[in-house]
Amino acid sequence: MNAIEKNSIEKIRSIVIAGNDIHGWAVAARLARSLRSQGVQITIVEPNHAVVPNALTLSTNALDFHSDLGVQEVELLKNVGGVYKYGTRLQNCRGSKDNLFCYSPTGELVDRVKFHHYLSRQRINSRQRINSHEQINSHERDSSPEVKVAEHSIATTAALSNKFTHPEPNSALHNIDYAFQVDGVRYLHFLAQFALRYGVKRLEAEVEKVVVGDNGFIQTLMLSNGESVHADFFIDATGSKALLIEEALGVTYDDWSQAFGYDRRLEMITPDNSETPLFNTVTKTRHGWFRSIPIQGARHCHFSYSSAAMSEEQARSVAFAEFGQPIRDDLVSVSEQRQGVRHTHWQGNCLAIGEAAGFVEALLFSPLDLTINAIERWLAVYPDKSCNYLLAQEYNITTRNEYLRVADVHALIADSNLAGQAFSSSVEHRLELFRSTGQVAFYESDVLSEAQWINLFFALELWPEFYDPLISKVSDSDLRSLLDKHASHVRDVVARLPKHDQLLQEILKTTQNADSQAKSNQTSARNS
Amino acid sequence: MQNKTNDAVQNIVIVGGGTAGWMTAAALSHLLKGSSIAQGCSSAQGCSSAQGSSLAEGSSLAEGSCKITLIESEQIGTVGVGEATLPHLRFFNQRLGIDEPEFMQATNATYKLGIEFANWGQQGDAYIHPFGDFGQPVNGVPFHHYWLKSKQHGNDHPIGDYSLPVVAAAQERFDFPSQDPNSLLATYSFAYHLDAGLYAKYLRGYSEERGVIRQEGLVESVQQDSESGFITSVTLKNGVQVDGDLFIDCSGFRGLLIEQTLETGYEHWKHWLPCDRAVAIPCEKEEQPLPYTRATADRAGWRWRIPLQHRTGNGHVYCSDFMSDDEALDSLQKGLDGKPFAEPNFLRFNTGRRKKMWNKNCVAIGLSAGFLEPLESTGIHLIQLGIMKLIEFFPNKQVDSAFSSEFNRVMQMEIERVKDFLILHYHATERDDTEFWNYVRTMSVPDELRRKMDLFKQTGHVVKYQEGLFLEPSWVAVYLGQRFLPQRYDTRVDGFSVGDMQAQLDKLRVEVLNSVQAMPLHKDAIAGLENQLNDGWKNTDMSLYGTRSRNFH
Repeated sequence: MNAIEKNSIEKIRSIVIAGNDIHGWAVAARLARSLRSQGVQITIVEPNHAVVPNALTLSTNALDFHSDLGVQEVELLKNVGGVYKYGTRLQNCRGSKDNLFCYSPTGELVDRVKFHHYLSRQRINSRQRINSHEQINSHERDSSPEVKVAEHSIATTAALSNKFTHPEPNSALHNIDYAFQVDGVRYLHFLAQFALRYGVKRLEAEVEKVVVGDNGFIQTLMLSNGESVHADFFIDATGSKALLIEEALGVTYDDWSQAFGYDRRLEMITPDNSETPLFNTVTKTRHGWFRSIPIQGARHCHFSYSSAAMSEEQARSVAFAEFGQPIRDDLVSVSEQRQGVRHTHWQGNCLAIGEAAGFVEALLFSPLDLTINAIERWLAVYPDKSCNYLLAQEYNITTRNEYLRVADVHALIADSNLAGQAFSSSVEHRLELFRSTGQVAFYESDVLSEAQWINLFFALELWPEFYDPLISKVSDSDLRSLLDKHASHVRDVVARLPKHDQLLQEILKTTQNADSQAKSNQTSARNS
Repeated sequence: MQNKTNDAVQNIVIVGGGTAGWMTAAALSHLLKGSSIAQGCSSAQGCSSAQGSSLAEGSSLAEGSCKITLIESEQIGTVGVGEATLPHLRFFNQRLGIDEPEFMQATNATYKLGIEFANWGQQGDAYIHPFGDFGQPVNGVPFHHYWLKSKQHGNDHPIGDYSLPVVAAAQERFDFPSQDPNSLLATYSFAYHLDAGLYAKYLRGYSEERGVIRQEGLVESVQQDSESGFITSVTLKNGVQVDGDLFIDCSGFRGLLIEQTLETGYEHWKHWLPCDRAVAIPCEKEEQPLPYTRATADRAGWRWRIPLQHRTGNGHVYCSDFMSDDEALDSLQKGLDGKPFAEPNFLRFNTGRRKKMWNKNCVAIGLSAGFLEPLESTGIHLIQLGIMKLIEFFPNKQVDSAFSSEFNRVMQMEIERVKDFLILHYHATERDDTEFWNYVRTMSVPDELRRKMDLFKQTGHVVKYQEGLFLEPSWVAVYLGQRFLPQRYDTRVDGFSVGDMQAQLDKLRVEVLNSVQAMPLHKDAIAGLENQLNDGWKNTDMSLYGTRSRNFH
């Protein structure tokens, strides 16, 4: 075939990851496994620094990530002190009280109509009864005790009683979605060991100088130990310093911090010996955002605040008041957060990931969730040595879209005023559409499924004023009995599920057999 | 606060019969009036749980009071010709509880596995765009990259040899896809060729059984609310006045309500898709109907050939700037398989889309919403999509603009993407034998299509999107079928030795061939419709490519 310029194609033979934290190792592990038959030398360069104790909350995409690594779930949980996760508890967000957002759909289709329309109809009914007595001003939400969304969701009901199950095909549990929360230090070591086992080379050094060629491609990194490393492709995982993409290549950062209202994050670990919850917690207060992630025996706590509003000292006392005393006082850290995204994420032969690529506090997502997606997107358009700019463009378009969708989730939860912001948001349209039609707007590169958007609206106590006309002829008593029946079905299903902590104890004791059993559950669930 | 939001639509008026009108009437009559039928849980989620059906039991949901009137006149002909469809129509029929063999007999339908495009990339070329994928990804790299490399190393098998529906079509075989997701026989989907006039007639019977009122007559005037501009009623020539809350414009090209009354406006795409005429003639069928549509490029457009059970539908789509009606008819007649059954039927059209398919309380469905030539059989599909989106965003009596704005946004996204895919067929060509082909080969194309084509040309990668009809396998079929070959393939292909790779490709090709040879002939599958050997296929979903290709949607 003469159309293919045989001689001009040179494959990538070496990739250097400039790392600083777990993002670099996540990329290293995934690439090492995916490119193992490609003869690509992968090197990670990172400075020597102690890893501070931390916990990570992951999303449902971690399941595919682990499976692509060929890692068994039980093996992983044992190694990284992992626990299961059904969602995120949202407290006082957007004026709502205290609700659980879960990944799994709430209810099933009934007579071809999505379940949430029945809940909306029931709520409209109960409001009409209230309205006949008193006037309610708020059109967005109320606290009517008549409709409890949580009791119609198996995952939410299970999470509230600390029970866990994997999905089971052809049963009421067929669409259970779950994720993990892990000890960040052990997870990092797990990924690092995995990467090293697959041939990744580690150099312990600082990047001192980046040599860029006339074509705008990075050629070499000069290191603090006197070595220099050359590569065909570079991954900038140096965090907010962005040593490659910004310092060397001059790609700017689009600052979105105005929309977020906080610029500092305090982190600490507190002891916690209560039952291990199946969710992380996000709490809005007048001081800022509190978040906590459970791991076995402890909680990792975050406090995001505005440096304009309080000093670091004040922030510490606010955080201690909220979370209690830290396990170790010297492990309380405060870092600067600059919300925003890199203008282009892939420039020349350099790809930025982790905080070098952007930092958008999504509340439902962790930065590592986005790194996992980023690696998959990059592997889908894997370049040759020449790094065709059209591939980079395709990657940059889809990546930016994802950050925009993540910012949407934040804006919805935080009720941010987005007027005049530097980026366009779909939140207003989504909210208006849901409020007036009960439908979820479709956008490309979305980060939540339709069922998850509905769960999020409900967790924020945002209700439609309209339900599907297909159910308008259902009598009020039929509706009530349908919902009662559904709630009792959910209770029955949850009643026979095992306790989360009990399951975790069993996992710690498992042998190889049980391991493959859990794995096959996981696989069959995904295929169903 | 008074709750008026669920003030239900009481009167729906559909203006115009034909395929669009009767498909709309059938779907609305079924869904708005329908009792809870077994097909209620046709979706995978619904059926797999025991809870879905048991909950609905005993509560008779949705026994409607909504009146549906369809106005049509015997005096106005419909554009209905032999039509080729997409697999999604099966989903539509199944939602309506329609029995597949009965429907096929009523519409003289045959099975369809894809479309053969002849003379597009260059005269003498031919390829099939199948309802299915080519091979499968290995190590995360799509199959066509491996094929490109093997071609470079002397493999002269076209990529179609690695696609089950392509080989089955070429061998005139047909069978229902397998339900085992690991089987090669799960790598495809299928649709029908049908007589659209008979389909409309069939759906008319279906709709009238479910209470739709057919009102004979020609619309003479349309009344609007003086403040809102909403349509309040239409008055017929015979003096009958029909009131409505929601009006569906299925009046065809002219857009009686959406354009002639509401003056919504139209976006023209003639500079990208210059064909503006068509002529159609049915003719005697050839020996056995083929399980695929044929689209043969001509000097200034293309000719279709659609095999039905009892005859063959033929047509010629052409551009009047480059070809006269006489020339078009002459070329069409020369290509017929048998004796013509009827006088030629000439049509004129403007390719483009209505600026708002839903304006005020009027929803345009079918040709009134926009027109794209039937090159990829998208006519009935866009009708179906309009109906499904209307049902999803079915409004209250006040017809809040939140419903229409999202409907319009989503429908526009769909039709624009189909448009780009159609333009590709004309633009990705080496033909330079006529003025027409010189024009389309050298014209400037929409920016987003340019980006897609450049990316494929330079890297072999296909731009990904989630929502949209034609996904990666379709783009690959047309690019490669029309000589639009990439300059590079994904270098990860080099991770395998050439010998190993060729052996794997050969193995797949032989497996495809063996699987196809075990399938019955298409003519036997059609014959089976009469004697109940064939009770239809119950699995449907909204995908072009079969169950194994879940990752494409």
